[in-house]
Amino acid sequence: MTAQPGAEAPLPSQSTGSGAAKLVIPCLVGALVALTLGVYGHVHHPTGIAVNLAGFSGPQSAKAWLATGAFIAAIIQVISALVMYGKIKVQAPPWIGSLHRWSGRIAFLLAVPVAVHCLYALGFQTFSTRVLIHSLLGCAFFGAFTVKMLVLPKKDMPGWLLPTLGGIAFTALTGVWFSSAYWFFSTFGIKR
Amino acid sequence: MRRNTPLLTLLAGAALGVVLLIASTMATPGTQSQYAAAGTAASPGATSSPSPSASPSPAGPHSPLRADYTGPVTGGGATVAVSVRGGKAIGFVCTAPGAATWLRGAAAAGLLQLAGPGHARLTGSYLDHRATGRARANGTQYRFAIHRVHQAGLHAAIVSRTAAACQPPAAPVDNGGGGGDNNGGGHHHGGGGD
Repeated sequence: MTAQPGAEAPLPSQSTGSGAAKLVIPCLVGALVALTLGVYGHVHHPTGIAVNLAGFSGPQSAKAWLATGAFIAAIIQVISALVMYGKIKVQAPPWIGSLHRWSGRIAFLLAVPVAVHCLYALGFQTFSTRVLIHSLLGCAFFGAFTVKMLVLPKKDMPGWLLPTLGGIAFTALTGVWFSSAYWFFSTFGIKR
Repeated sequence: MRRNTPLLTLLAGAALGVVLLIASTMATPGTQSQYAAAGTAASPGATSSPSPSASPSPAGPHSPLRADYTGPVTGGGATVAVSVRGGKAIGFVCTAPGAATWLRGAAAAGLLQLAGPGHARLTGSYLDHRATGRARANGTQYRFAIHRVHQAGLHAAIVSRTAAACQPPAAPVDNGGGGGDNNGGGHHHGGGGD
């Protein structure tokens, strides 16, 4: 994108072209992340155990609770985004942006240990539809989140891009949570 | 953005993941030797390889990494078996000799989740000496509380889905080492069905 001093903003076709080109690398990196997680999960021999977290009745329930925490943080992120974009008609407080960013970070950082345990102890599984969906969406979530993080600092992106990426990540996480934590609590009970 | 905080978030998460992965590897007792030993006579008395003293042990009762369980369902009418190898589990529900619903799934830190054709399901928990839970096969719900066994060839029979697997269970062995007929002769077909 050439910038002459004092020039007008680039023509829409030009900015769209260069904007799309800026997306290629983030999308490739995100796809690579998703693929790497899936391949690792498939190739690695699941051990049945992984590093544990004290205070829970077992590693599986620890994961279910952490995942639920991540899911709640993600819901807060979606709601704060709706406020930021004016979809929820309230007076946006000045800390809404911070809430959005921090709830997102918390969701991501809670999801990481759950994913590590899942990949290491259980692996990419296909023995039932539920676990297949979980395995696929789990990889997709981290890929989508990677793309969103890499796109965020870029300028001149169309306004719908971030909400779309955020929506994809949230949808994937919702599917991941339903196919695991929700199943766990409804099968084994809501326990510590 | 002046500082690329999203990238920092990504890298922080990746670093956390790597640290946890390394910690998990250290927490897994003898994984390498386990899979190297698969296919040779596994020591009959060991519930799991001895864990290094520095590794964090799972909270709660101990669940073995390699174990076979089999027995009748509560109330009779079927036999259930589960064979755990690391994070994978296979099993069956047998309503009559030769009429087996074959299951496969995952076992992690004491919890079993297996599935099979026709919406067959098995969920439950497994410990050092027994496994309990629920199973559904051919539209019938069962509950089970079965003992751990050291039964030569059970895992291999489930893997190859031979009718021989669907037999009344051998006398349950409570503790390892005193196994009746299988001392050292167990040729376990390691690796699990896939």
